[in-house]
Amino acid sequence: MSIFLDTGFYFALLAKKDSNHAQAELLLNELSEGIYGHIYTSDFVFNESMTLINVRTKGTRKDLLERMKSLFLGEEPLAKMITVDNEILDEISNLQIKITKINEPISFTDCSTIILCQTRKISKIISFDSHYVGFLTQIQ
Amino acid sequence: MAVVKLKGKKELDKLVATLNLRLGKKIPQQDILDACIKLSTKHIEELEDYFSPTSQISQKRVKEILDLAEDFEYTTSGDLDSDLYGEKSA
Repeated sequence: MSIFLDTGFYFALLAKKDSNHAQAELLLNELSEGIYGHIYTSDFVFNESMTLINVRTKGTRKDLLERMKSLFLGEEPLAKMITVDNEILDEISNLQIKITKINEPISFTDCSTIILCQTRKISKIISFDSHYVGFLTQIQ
Repeated sequence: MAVVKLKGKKELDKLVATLNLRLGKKIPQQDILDACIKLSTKHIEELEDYFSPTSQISQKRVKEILDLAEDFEYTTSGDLDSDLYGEKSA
């Protein structure tokens, strides 16, 4: 049993103004109880989370970048980080090509999350994104 | 050389039988065990998870993380992907 943490969850944890902040706090407490088993994220989600802070604050908050970094790296990261191997890049891009629809583009990172979860048999994801419907069980 | 005892002998027998049936030829038990070891080294993370205790976040760490939150100002279109990758075309 295991669960994957997505970018929106990390952002919501740090941003009190985020509409999902209260839910993210609740989910953090549930995660700490160990009821979801092993907790994972990926280097691509780390990339997105850092970039999202930078974009939304227009590069004005290096301290928030430090805080975000501390959730992924250091002595007590929130989740174990899975590295996206070159071997699965082809599989990820094939999925992106397959499920992309007009006016409903899906990011390469979201596709990497789906492939990683399928490969590692991670069936649940904490995400506030709608792209995972039909692929993973979303905990919101 | 140390003797390795198999706890899951029945599972191994079942694996050998299934594989032989699927392939239509007999693969020696030793070859299957060797292949399992080779494959495991390619999936070291999964093996690591198998032997690791379930992830735990200490209450001290939860409090630290909650204390990182701030009521900061930011701009957003309301959609994470649009903020990161640009507006979706209409």
